[in-house]
Amino acid sequence: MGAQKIEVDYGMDIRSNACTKVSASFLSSKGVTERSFGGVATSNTVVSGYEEVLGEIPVKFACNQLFRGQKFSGGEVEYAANHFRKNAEQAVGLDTNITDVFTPEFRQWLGNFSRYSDDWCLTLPMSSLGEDITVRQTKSPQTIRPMIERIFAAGSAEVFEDGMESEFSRALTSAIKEHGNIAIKVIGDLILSEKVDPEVASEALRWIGDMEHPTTYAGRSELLQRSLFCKSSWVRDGASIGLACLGNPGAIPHLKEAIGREPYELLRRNMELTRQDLLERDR
Amino acid sequence: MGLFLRTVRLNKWHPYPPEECNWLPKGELHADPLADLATTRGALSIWRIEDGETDERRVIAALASRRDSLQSIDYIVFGSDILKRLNIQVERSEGQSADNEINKSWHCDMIQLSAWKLVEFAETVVIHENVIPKRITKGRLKEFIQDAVSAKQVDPGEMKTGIRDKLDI
Repeated sequence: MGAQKIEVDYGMDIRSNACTKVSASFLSSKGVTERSFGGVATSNTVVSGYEEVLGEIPVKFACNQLFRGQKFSGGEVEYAANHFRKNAEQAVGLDTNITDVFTPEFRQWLGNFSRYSDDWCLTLPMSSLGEDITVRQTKSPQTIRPMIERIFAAGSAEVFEDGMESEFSRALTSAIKEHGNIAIKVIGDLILSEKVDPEVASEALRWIGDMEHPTTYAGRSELLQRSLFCKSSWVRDGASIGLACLGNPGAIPHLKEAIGREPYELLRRNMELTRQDLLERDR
Repeated sequence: MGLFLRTVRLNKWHPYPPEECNWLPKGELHADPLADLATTRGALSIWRIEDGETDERRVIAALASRRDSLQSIDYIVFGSDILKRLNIQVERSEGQSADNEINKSWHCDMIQLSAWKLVEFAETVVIHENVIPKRITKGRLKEFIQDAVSAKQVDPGEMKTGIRDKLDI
């Protein structure tokens, strides 16, 4: 195989016990190589994941070991890769039981994560496979919250233009790509508890809907849906635009409910435009 | 009567949710729309449209094609009579959209604008004429741009990847 050691990092949301990021570094005959090879978000009913790099055999190998608990074989690896890609595409509403996907050992590790602090690191020798696998938790919501708060604070000083990138949108989407659903959790806390400038929150929701990042698709969709009911009309409008960008027909019932409760006529009309947009795409 | 189009950011425009601006004296203009009317050397960029919806579509596609991302676009359409009434002059100038044809023939500037004249214009559009901003959401925007590409009005090669990658072309 050429891979003697594999280190795997998981970004964990301690409170929801969701695993948000998977990256691996492995020692090959050419030295140490680091690759982010996938992401997987778990909650009670939803599993999503994807693979950024499929071309590296050791990476596929690591993926296969962890998610399938089986030795490398071409067929199994392809199955795992396709399985996770498919889940990423259908993340919202996918009713997959995690027991169908993970091995008992892996589920046990997931359970352990919720009980340990940020710097916890565990080496699990996979002696039966002749591999050393290091599994460690990366960032928690508490550790990245100050960074996300700074991004929002700096955003207050910017002038936004529809559809144009800004320092704020670049920083925000980078943070989401880096920290996955943990970042979404923190951003959600800030927006839903109305602790950030409504105009900046509105801009954030547009880009949260617009960005391409399958791992966080379900989390972003949920945040946008919940933001439809925020106190600020700026935030509700940003959520409506974000949902149109995300294009998830699963949001249609939430939009219908929001339209029914929306006191502001202009916003009601615009939410209806988003609903029509999603209905069109669902046909 | 001719029509003019200008993109805006809808949240800044009338009518506001009453609970969010109960401090504003009745009949007075909120300051926010002025942020969408930023002038350069006393001039404000606008687009002249003749054939209502078809021209609107073309201008919106041309403007959206130049953006970083295919999000929604908000705009106002107002009559040339407003400019005449306020004695605001309009001058043809080169536009910066992705459609070279309309850049040359449809783009104009409202010129020689004083601060007071700009406020008067915003007040007329928002309060007296009650112009409500329109919105085109992502799905329709994509359709507009694809039609513009098919009609060779815009060149996909000049679009940013954030737009081009989302089109079915």
